[in-house]
Amino acid sequence: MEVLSQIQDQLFYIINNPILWFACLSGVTLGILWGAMPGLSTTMAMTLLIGLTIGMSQSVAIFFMLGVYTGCVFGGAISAVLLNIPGTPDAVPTMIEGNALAQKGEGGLALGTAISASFLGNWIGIIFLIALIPAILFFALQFRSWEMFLLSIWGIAICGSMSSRESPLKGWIAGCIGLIVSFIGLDSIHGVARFSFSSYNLEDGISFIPVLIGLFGLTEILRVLPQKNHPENPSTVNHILPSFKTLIRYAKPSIRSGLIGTLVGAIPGAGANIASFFSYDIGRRRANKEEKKKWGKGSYEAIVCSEVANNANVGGSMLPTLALGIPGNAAAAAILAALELKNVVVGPLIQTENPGLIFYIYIGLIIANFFMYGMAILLIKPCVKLFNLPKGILMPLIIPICILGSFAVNFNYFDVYVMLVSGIIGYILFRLNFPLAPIVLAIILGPLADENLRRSLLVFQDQGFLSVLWDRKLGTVLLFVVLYTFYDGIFNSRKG
Amino acid sequence: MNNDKNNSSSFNDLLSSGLLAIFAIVVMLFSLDLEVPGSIYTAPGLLPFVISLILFVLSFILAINSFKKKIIFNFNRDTFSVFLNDQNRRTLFLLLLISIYIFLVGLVNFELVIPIFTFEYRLSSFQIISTVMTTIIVKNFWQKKTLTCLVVVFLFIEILSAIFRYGFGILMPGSF
Repeated sequence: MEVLSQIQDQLFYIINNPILWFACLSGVTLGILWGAMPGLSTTMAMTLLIGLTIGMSQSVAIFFMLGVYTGCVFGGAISAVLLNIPGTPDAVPTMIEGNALAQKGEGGLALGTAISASFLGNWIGIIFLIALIPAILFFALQFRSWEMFLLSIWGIAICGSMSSRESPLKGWIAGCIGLIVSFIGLDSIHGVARFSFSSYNLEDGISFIPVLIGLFGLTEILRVLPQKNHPENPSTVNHILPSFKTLIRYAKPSIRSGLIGTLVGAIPGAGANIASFFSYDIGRRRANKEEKKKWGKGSYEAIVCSEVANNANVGGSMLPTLALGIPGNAAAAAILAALELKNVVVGPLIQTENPGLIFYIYIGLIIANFFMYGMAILLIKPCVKLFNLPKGILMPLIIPICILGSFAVNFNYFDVYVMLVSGIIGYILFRLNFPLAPIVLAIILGPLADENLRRSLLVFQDQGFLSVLWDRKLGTVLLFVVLYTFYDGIFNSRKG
Repeated sequence: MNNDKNNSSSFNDLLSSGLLAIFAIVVMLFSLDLEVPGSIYTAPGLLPFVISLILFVLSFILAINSFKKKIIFNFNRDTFSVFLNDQNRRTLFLLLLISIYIFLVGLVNFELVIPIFTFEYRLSSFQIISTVMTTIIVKNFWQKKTLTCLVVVFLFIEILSAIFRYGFGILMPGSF
């Protein structure tokens, strides 16, 4: 009864404060626009826009930040589909499928599918957040160092297998290159400088954002602009939203992807990037023969899998953030910072110290989801028209955005040079038929894998291999899953 | 034609596997050279060494696969002329322009503050260099009148700078 009365109180408060709705709408719009800009990530949006909340009251700030979070996660899909440059790293699978559809003149419907999938994904995340807090948290907390290491390696292995056009071998090589780049800088356990050659800039490590912008933004510019006849996407936007029948057809992959997104989101440290790639890979394995053929060449089901998972991740990542005070991912850490800025201490005592706040956040997520859906539909047509400008003018105009996006990460111009070098390397790798997505994912997951492997080896040093397998059952399952991914990649590609 | 494509692809694979193998060996050597402050299990060079070893093995497999295609590498002038075709020349030219643009923004730092009534208009070195360099790139690849290119680029850079500076509160490179 107390819970119901708290929900009722929060609902009345929100309905009677139009400023909250306005803050949420502004946050969603800013988030979508931010996410649509090549390389400007959700985390960057959250951390930079926290500054705007300083003058806001606690309730307004929370709604604004939730709006930004929700909008930004979807926004990455816009430039991914229309420009072949992902706005955020988790939009890479959407880019692979959506851009192929845009080239066939189905960019509008591809984006419409992404919007519907994002809307659905958010709902699934919210529902799981409300219904399964204890169960999901129990599962998420089983992930310790060993499991986190295996999860990171699995993510890179899957990404390598999925994104390579020829064989997984080149995808895994790209993953190894990304991992080696991620090791540059001070190591997290002893603080020893690795591969930094006494450069202060390198000691700080290589940030994944400039690499993402370079690999996808600059490489795409170098690939497309010098062509004499630029490939133009058809500018007609026929259907935008998929029919109800289509949505019903994708109900099963949607629920599965939503569950994956929420579970991955609930694991501290594992972000939307892993969620979208896992869901994309599992979706391909579960798809029927006809659909499987379309995978990689423009599949709507693939877009659904990727977008539902990365949006369900929003709800999932709020679980450990609110209930334990451990952020599910970097963007959730920014929400945590925004809450602490407003003197809200989250964690196991949140319900005692701030009664009703957890429901206020749930309702905020639901409202932000509706605004995201509406704004995204409004923005599709102008976006399709805008991104269908002649490539000769559009691509050069992206260069300053790439520079600003790279610079804004740390306000250090060294990151712009990193972007330039990544772009050149990305172009060479592209010409040599190496996929680029595993490099970015490996740079994101590399530090996580490195730190957790060494921690777990320290824990296991006095134990036998078999006893580790027996004691850490979840880790054992994950180990077999990783080995199966490599086995499947090698033998399925041979059959192909 | 198809044979030429396979030949080129195998040659590329062989070349990249060689370069990757050298890269992997260099990383392995650097990893071994890293100090080990505590236990060997927490050595900073542990995972870099393992990953570079895996990279070496994978590049070796890539080389074997390119040999398995049983294509005799037939190098003649045409093989290398592919690297200097018109599109590649245009790519190199574009890369040169982008590199000059990026290095110029990194080297030149200033900001002009121009008071306009009650408003202070800020013009940073980034805006000026971006307008000039982007206009040159647009002019080369869009091939419209220089004035048209300049106006489009100027408006875009001003709007972009305003969004970043006033909307998102992000400083321009070279601003302070």
